[in-house]
Amino acid sequence: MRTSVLGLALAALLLVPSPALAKKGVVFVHGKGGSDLANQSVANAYWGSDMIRATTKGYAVPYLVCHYDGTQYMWVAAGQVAGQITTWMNANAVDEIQVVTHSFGGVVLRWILSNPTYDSRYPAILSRIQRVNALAPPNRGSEAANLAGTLSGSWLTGWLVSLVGQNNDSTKNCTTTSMAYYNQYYLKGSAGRPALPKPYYNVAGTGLWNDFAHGEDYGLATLSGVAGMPGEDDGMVSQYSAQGAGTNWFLTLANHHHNRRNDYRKLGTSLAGTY
Amino acid sequence: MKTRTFISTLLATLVAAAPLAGGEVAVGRFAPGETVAPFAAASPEADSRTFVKTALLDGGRAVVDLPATGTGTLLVWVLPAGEPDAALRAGDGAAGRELETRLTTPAGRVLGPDADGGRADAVRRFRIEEFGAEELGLAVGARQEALRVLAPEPGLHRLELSAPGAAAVTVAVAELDSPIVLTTWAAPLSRQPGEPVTLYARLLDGGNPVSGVISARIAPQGGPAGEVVTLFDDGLHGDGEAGDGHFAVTLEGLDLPAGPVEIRVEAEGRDGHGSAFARTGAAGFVSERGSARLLPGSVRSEWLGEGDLRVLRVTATAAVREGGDFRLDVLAAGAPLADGSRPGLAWAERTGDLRAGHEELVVDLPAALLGDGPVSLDVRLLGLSRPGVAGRATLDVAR
Repeated sequence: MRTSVLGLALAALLLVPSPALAKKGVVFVHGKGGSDLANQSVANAYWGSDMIRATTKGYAVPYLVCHYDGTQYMWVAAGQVAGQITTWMNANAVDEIQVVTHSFGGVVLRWILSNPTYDSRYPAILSRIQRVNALAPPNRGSEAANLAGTLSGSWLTGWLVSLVGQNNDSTKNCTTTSMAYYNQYYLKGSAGRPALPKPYYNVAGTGLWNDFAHGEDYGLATLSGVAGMPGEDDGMVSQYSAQGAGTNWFLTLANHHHNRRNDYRKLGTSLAGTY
Repeated sequence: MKTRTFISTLLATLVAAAPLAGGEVAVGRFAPGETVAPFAAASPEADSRTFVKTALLDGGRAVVDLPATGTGTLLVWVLPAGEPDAALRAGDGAAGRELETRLTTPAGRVLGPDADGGRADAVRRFRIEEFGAEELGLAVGARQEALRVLAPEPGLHRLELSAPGAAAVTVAVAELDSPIVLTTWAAPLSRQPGEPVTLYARLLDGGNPVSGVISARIAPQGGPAGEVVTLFDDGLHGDGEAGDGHFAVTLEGLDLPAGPVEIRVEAEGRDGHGSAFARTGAAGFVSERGSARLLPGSVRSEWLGEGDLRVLRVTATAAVREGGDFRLDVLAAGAPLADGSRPGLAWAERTGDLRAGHEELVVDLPAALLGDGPVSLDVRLLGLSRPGVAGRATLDVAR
C-alpha cells in the first residue's frame, strides 16, 4: 500500500498546476433567504457590486455569484451551487477557487467539503477549492433560527397556521438542535470531528450597531435580545457559532446584514488578500 | 481548528475496493492532539428569558398583558402577522402597514402611539424597518416595533395595539437581565421510529428552584403542533429530585414523519416576591426515517495482515428497508480523557448503493494510523439519498 500511496502522491503533484500557472477564480455563495435568491440578479444584489468588485480586485479574476433557492436544506442548496460551480470552472478553465460564503452559505460549503461522495460533481470542485472564507456562518446553529421556529405558525390553530406561516427548511437546518445533529453525523470541521479537507476560515461578527439611527440595526439588536444569543453576536449568528468550525480568521464589527456588503467594515479588502 | 497532515491528505484521496462489499472508501487521520467529542445523546440546552404570545385582533385591535418581574430591562417586540385575512384587509393596506401601540407600566407610566421617547427616557419605542424576516422564513408584516422599558416595575404591563391591516399580532417579550431562566432540551437527538422521546426543562431563579408550571407541544416537519403535554418536577419522571426545578416528561408511541421536530415549551410561575413571570423555550430532535438499521451485534472488528499491510477490518450488517445510497462512518479513538473526549486516531467512510434486505459492509483502517494503545470505534450508518441516521454502534477493539 505504501508504494501505491506514494505513487498516487507523485502523480497528483505532477497533475496539479504550480501556483504561478494556476488560473484563480472567486465563487460567492450567499446565505438563507427567499426562493427568489435562485435568480441571478437577486443573488448579485445580496452581495452588492462593491463587495464583488473589492473581492475580485476590481473584477481582475473570474468570479461566479451562485444563486440558489434560499429556503432549502443544505444538500438541496449544495446541489444547485455545485452545478453552477462545475459549469463555470470548466467554461473558464479555473483551477484554483477561493470561495466566499455568507451565513448559511458557509454551512452549504461544509456540506460539500464533508460529503464528497454525496454528489458526483463534488470531488472535482473539491480538488480545485484552495480556501473557503466564511462570513458569519452559523456552524453551531443560530438562536435566531430557534426563535423563528417559536414565532412560526406551527403552534397556532386553523387558519392562523397559514396566516403566520411555517418556517422554511433552511431555517430548520440552522437551529442549534439541527446543527448539533449535522455536526455530529454529517459535517466535518467542528471540534471533535474529522477535519475539513480544505482550509475553512471563519469571520465572526460582533457588532450590532453599524448605524445607530438605522431601523435595520434596531431590528437585529431586538432579534439578538429576544432570541437570547449568548456572548457576542452580529444580530443573527453568535460568535461561538461562527467560530464553531474551521480556523478563526478575524472578528468584525459589521453586523449580519452589513458584513456581506462591504459598506461598513471593508471586508472585501481582506477577502481579496487571500489569493 | 483542524490541521491536515500529509498522510491524511493522501489517504483521504484514496479510493479502494474492500474485499466484501463495493462502494467508495475514504480514510483519514486526526492530527496529533485532536480529540473525538463525547457523543451528544440530547439536543443542546437552550436558555430563555423570553415569552411569546400571539393575539388575535378584534376589529384590528387587541390588548395583551405582559407579566414582568422587574429584574431587568424589558424588551417588547411587536410583530403583525403575515398576510391579512381578506375580511380584515383595509383598502389597499398591506399587513402591518398601520401599527400603533400604547404601553402602560404597572406604575402608570405611558408610552402612547404618538411619542417614541428619547435615548434618556425609561420607556422608548424603536421602529424596525427590517431584521431578516425573509432570512428566517417568517411571514411578518412590513412594520414591527420594539418597546424598551428600563428599570421596569414588577407586575403586568398593558400593551394596547392597533393593526388594522393584520389579523393577528405576535408579541415576544424578553426580560434581558432576569435571573429567571428556562432551559430546555430533548433526547434522543436522533430518534429512531418507535423510540420514546423525553422532554427536559430547568426553571431556576438565580440558580434556585422557582415554582412554576411547564407544558410543551411538539411540531413535526410540515405539520401543526400536537397536544399540550405537562412536564413534571415530582421526582418520578426522570426529572431528578422533586421540587428541584428540573422537569421532564417521556412521550411514548409518537407517530412522526421523518425530519426535524420542533418543541415549544411554556413556563409560567411566580418568583420569590410573588411577581408573575412567563417564559417560552425551544428544543428539538430529528425523527429518523427508519430506512435502514444496523443489526444488533453485527458490528465487529478484527486485525488482519502483517507489517505495513496490517489493517483493522470493521464489519457491520445493515438491514435495509428502503434502498439507496448510504455511508458507513467509522471513527477510531483512544482511551477516554477526563472530559469524556477521546484522542482522535483515524476515520473511514464507505459509501455505497444498498438494496433492500441485508447488506454486509466492510471498511479497513490501516493499523499504522491506530498506534499501539487502546482503540474504540464509533460506527454510524448514514443515509445519503435521504439524509438521516440509520444506526450507530460503539465497539472497543481487542489488541
